[in-house]
Amino acid sequence: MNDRNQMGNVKKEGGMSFRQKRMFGSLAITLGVAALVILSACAKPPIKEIATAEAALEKARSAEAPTYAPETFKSAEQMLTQAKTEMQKKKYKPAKKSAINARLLADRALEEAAQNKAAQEAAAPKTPGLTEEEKSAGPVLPPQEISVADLQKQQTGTGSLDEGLKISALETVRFNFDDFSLSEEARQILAKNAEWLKKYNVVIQIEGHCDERGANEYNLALGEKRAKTARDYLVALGIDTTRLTIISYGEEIPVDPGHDDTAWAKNRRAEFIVKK
Amino acid sequence: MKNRSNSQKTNPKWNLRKLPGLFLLAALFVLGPLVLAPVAEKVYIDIGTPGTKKFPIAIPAPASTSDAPAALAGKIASTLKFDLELSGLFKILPPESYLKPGLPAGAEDFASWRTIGAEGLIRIKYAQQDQKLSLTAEIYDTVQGLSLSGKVFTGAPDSCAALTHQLANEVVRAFTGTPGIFGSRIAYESNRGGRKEIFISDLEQSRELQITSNRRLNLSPTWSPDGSQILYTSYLKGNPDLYRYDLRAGKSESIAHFPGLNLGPVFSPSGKELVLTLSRDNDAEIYVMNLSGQELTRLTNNQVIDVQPSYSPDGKKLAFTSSRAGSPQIYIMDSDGKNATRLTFQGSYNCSPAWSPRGDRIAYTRQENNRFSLYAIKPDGTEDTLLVGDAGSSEDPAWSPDGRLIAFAANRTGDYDIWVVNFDGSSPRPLISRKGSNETAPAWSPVSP
Repeated sequence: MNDRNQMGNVKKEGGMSFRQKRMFGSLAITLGVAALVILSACAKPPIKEIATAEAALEKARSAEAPTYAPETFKSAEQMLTQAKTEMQKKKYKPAKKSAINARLLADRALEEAAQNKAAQEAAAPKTPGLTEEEKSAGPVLPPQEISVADLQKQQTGTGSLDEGLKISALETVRFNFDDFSLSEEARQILAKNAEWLKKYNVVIQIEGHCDERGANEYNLALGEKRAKTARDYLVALGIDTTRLTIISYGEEIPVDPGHDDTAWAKNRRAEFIVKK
Repeated sequence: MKNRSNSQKTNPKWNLRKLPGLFLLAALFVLGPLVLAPVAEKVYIDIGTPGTKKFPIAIPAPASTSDAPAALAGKIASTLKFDLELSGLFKILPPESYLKPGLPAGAEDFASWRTIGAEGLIRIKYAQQDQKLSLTAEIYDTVQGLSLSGKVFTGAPDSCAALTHQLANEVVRAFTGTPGIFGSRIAYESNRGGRKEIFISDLEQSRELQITSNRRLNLSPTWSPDGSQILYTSYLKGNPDLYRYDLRAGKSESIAHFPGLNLGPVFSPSGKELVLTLSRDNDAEIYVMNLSGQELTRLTNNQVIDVQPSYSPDGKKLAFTSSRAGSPQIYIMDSDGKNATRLTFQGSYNCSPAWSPRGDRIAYTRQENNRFSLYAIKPDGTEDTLLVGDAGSSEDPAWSPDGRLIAFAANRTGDYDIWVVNFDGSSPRPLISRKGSNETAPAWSPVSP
């Protein structure tokens, strides 16, 4: 606000004078102040944003978010710390971004806490008698434990090196040749996988794979990019990143041993393996 | 004289025939040495010139000069034949055409060898005494009636193959000025047991050694400059980590296990550090690491894939594959990561660069119609040349230590085998093949001393 007032004054001052010398002077001042305004707009300490985030966090805390939405609340706290650190280092732009993110996370924590608290209170009396069907039906949060026996009922295979469980609920995502971007179809599959992961508290490994064409090492790097893209999308959908590990097998473990377009299309994939 | 390129052995020129001016200049050089040069300086086969015709030689059956087992004669002859044919330099004339195959009582009758078209002659004698086997080779130029070399190779009675390889290397040296590469070995991947393991074989496929047997994935073997160690990537503990196998100790140890990919370990020519690909700081990037694994220097830094570093023989440059232009292409940078420039501009998918030991060519593979062809290009980007592209895919090029041959993985018989081709793309032929399994990612060892 200060900057804007100053500029107003200068303009007014300039407008009042008709002498050339003063006009030049005021022009210079105007330009200088304008530059200052632009500069400070780029790099102003995000004090207001941080204060807002702090307030939002406080509100979430008083709504028992640390108990009922611990992960989101913790992320919000971490994000705020990051914002403060960045501000100290005079990285105002990222600091502002972090502060805004911290506020958004705090808001989400508040919301989740309210929901979870209500859900838990509602569920509390009949928890012992809850059937599997009932458990998977509602928006139960946080994710619940799932038994190995239940997972095995859904099992369709194992991870590529014989470890972990491949289950029917977690569908494979496919990619184009030499590409790791997500198609609309891939995003829909990931959204479904995310829903399942929100229900069940398991750790999964995302395996990136390629078709046989190309250098093995290049494909190992490409498979990793596929796995990372899938992971990042799940994280964006709200899955805790600590539950998602990634690995690439490049072109080494095809699901279809063929050497044609059909086989190649099947082999360019990201698979989701329950590691527990 | 059709097979003789008498240019000086120092500085063999590539593609002399494509440069008429240089060719004339070379012709001037030819006439000088013919008169003046001492015999030892003469090069009968210019190994730097593509398309050189095979040099016709005669190799009469090895003669025993003691009570050495007669079976050794056949063993020496077959090993020497294998080596000299693999070199791609010689045409061994059929023994039934020899007019005077037996050891002469007096001087060698060179005219009788010239009559059957032999321009070189190799006389071999062998003896076994006091638990020592010795092979004696006399190598002649039959046209001028000169002895080019006379050497004795001595070793334990069971070292017949190794001694014959040394003899073959001497034959190559006598005619080309540069020793051969026999006795060297190839390390490679094989999936015969289901998942890839690392193996080593001699060139004649008579002895194979399995380095890993963990039933996990084991990939991309490379040799240390002294040939005593093999580096490779293994999923032994779940993550693709780097391991070093010591051939003397017969043991492997982990040398790099950063989070993410640990790929493509290649020793620098000095043997003091490794260049490798790691994804610990985001996606696949190229790093230099000292042998203790303590110091790590990042050479590439971007949001794209950078893999497959290959050192120039002087250690000053690295060729590598990068997707920075949108699709994989070959690049060259200084060995400190500076001045990266794009090398390949033809084709939409180029990978697997392998810098030749002579430094003047980089072999690589290019995708063409869903197949991969073998190419070579000069480090300045000129003379981008197709080497192998006639059938199936040809991938993973690896140079022989003398830069005359390129080993590669080819699937033209249905599954992948290790093939070899002359540096100019002539005579692709199978080297290490097994039915029903894939043999891939060859790495050529240095020549054992």
